[in-house]
Amino acid sequence: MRMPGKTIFDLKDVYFSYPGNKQPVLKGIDLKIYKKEWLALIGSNGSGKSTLARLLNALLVPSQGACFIYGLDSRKAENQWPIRNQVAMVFQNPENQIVGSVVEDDTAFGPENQGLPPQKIRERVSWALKVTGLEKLSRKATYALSGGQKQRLAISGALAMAPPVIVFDEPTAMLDPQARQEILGVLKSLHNDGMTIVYITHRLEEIVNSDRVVVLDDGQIQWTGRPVELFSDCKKLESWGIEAPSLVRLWSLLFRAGLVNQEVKPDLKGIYEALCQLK
Amino acid sequence: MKFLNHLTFGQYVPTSSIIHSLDPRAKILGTICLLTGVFLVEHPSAFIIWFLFLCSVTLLSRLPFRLILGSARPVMILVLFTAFIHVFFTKGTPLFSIGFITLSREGVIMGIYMGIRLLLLVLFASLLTLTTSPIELADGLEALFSPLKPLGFPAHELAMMMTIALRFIPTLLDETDRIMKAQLARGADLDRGGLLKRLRSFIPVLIPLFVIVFQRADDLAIAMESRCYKGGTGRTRMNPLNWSMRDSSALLVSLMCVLLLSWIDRSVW
Amino acid sequence: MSIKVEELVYIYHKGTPLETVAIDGIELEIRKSEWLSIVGHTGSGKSTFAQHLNALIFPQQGKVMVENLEVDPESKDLRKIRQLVGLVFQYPEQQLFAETVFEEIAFAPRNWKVEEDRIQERVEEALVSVGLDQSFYDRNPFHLSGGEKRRVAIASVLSARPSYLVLDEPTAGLDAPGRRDLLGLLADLREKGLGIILITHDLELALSCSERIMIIEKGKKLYCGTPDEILSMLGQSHVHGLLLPDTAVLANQLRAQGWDIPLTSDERLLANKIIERVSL
Repeated sequence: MRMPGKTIFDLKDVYFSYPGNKQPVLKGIDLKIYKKEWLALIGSNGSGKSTLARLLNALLVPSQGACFIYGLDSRKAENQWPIRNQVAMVFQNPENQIVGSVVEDDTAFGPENQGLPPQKIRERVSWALKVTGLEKLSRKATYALSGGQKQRLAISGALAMAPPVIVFDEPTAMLDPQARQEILGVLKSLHNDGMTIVYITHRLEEIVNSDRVVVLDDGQIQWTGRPVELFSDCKKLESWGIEAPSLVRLWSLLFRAGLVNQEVKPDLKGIYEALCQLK
Repeated sequence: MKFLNHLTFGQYVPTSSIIHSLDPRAKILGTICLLTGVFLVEHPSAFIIWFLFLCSVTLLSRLPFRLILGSARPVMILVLFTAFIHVFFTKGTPLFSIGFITLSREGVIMGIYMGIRLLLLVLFASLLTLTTSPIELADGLEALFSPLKPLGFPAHELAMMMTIALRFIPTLLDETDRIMKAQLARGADLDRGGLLKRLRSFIPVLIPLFVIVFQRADDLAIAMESRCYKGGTGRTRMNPLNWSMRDSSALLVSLMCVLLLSWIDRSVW
Repeated sequence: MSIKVEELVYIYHKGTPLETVAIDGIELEIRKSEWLSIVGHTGSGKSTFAQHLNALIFPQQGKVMVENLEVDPESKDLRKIRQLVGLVFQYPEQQLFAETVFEEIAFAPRNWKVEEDRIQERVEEALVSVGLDQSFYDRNPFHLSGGEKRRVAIASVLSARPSYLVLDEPTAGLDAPGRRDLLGLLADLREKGLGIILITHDLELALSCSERIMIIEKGKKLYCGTPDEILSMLGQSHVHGLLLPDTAVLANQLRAQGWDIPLTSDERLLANKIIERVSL
């Protein structure tokens, strides 16, 4: 796990209720997120994770408590734009994030809003499309892209603003398995290049490579720690409405039997190699 | 329904040509010029010259002819309908009558001329949309309307609305198809009955579409805000508009043709 | 009583430069009261295939017979076919349009000219079979939770009393508890005699709940058989891009190393066998 760097997000006793609803969706959240960290936020539908995500780039502000992003209080209106310049967001529905009819035009939307000079925008767009593997499709019509390609386009659009942080709100929820792998591949390379990532999902298999996991249930943080620590107790996961994928359940059973230890990653490669060494 | 998007409803076809590389402002103004010109002439020779003009611009655009002609297909009904109205409802020297509808000589001429004019209108407009990408069109319109901004005219907002609307047309067509199929699977009868019945039977298609569209508007607004969108002030462009000599000459040529043809038409023919 | 598909071929945009072969000669018989899953990637032709089953799309070559009624544009039995085979699209809650749940569910039987005095019976029956009750009658479908909306949407297809139910990715967008509930619902319907045809890209899901699985790729039937047969067939050949469940892949890899363990995707069985093997 990377050592914690500078604190980017600091949520202090945050409560949030949607207007008109008396029941708070978030109840007393205390959370710090650090630079270059890949933080996974996991929880079932209704746990409040999407709401929490939207607090991170000032799309929503706390009803009670405070949320500091790069030291800026998100409740102050004048901090909104500086925050959004630093914290980009990728949402669940690939279709409803795309503004332009052509791939590179859509990717340029963010930097154009930032008021950058044309040459700089072109550089950013070119780089962003290369990172997500879409550079050969730069002039393609956006409606003709596959689900995975559309979501990669959304990531390009976020990257083109050169943010140090990207928050991903269930980016793979509407994608098929192939497309999901595409997205996770992009994330891995972003993380390796030092991007701070906040990744929200209900799929346990997607957080294997994250540095830290926070489990949210019923609007509260129930648990935090390393991904491996989470996988050993599948019953606890179920009580939070999270299903462990079959490979993780297998890992957990082998762990309890003493055949694998905590250093073994609960993915195909990790378990296979560990078992081969046993023989 | 993906194929609908490939019908030339004037959808942009990227190719590199002189016409494609002209500034959209020049193309928009030029098209308006030409459209006016088409309506200012009356002599058949003038129409022939306009057709030749259309052909030469098509050649310069390096787009196949059948693509341009194909774009007229969806509106042919409208063209014929308008021609018909003129044929049968223009008063003049009667040729023959069916009941109380009289076909006049002037009517036939008017009908044919109006038909040709509308056809030329559609073809020139298609040339514009086929050679200019949606974002160029939006930028062009925004730039042309920007002198009106101080008067409160929402030039940027309209251009943005246009870009987004154009972007979502294919998506909406797909979704309409999907919802229609879902309702057909529940026994809906979407193509039987008189006009009123058909309209009513479309409610199970229209309402879900509206819901999707409103949800989309919500999501899109949030996504745009997250990408630092705050309106038109301070926005730059990756490909800013660049007026060059070529654009001035293209516009000048169009203007000259219009003036020349109208003058010849008026005085000579 | 079955659905018979013979040498089905379907090509999109035939004769244009955009021509795509969606279905390239598929033979299949779907028995009444069986749970068949059709598994393939996006673009494999599975959705196109599904839409032939209730006459939303017509074969260009070959035949589709639904209980001896032919799926043909000229056929007078099209409406009968659509009543026999219910189709639930992906994200079915997007097709909701009525002001009350009752009206939404009554839509289908009304379209099939069921007498008005029998409609209530149909609505109640459909609601109960999706685990809801009469208290939902007057509620606005748009104000329900995501899970409830999906159930109402499925009920609105069930109210036509189809003999077969085709579902395209019914668990899309659901989390683990939601998915479990939905599969339980389908299992109950299957108990009552409804034929279930599940279209999905998730082989693991199909393996866990189907009686038979057909794997479709590039419009062709690759394999068809029971879950065990499918696993062993896939274990023997290298199917490109098909996402075999990780547990089955692991089992395969270990077997290649000489481990004497069964080819299965069930992690409990696999764990037991591995533990057994290691302690020897």
